[in-house]
Amino acid sequence: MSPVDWKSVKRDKDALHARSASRSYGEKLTLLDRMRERTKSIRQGASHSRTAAFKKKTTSGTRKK
Amino acid sequence: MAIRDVLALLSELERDGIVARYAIGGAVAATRYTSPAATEDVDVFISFADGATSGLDPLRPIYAYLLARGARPEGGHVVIGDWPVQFLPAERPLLAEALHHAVEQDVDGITTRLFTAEHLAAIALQLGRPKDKLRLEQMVREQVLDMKVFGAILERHDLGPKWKDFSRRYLEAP
Repeated sequence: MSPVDWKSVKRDKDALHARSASRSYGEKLTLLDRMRERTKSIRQGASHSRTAAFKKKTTSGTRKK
Repeated sequence: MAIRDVLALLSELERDGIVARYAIGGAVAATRYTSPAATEDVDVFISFADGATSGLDPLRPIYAYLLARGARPEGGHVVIGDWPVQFLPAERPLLAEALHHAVEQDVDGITTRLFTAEHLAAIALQLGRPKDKLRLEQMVREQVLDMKVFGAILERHDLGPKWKDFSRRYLEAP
């Protein structure tokens, strides 16, 4: 594993902050909307995979019989 | 329904006299001053006209108003479009002061009201949950606070010792 270049991490963080500071509140709210949509779809995806895994487990259990 | 629709509905809530005054706090307000951080809900602090909080459930008129406009209740929130909104009476002294000093903000023609950065930081310090500490640390690092104003708030609400402890733990270089 390569060592973390903390200087570059800080540089990236500063650049992100500078970009963010130049955004209007309206633009930032649009970002919040997008973040929320993304979180929702990730959760839904995770929930679907759990359901699919559960179904697979239970049906494979009955098939054995 | 996007967060702008929530802002519009909040503005109508005050205009129609359901609440005397409202302001947004929490992460949605903090986003005005810092880089956006993902959040689950919108925290709205409210005050009522004198005598209007005498009922057992002061939030009932707000819920009735919003449900009639398509919102739905869910746990301790009312969901407007996609966004769960939590209404919190600004009763504690720091919250009441934050509501009093909240600033108006225009978002594409919608006027909303937000807690100031300094009050958000003081509330975060007072609450002290992990997410509050992160927010406070971010505000300090991004230099969005007027430290003179912030210091006066800390003094008024006896938060000086807490601030000293926070600074020592999280802000001073090891």
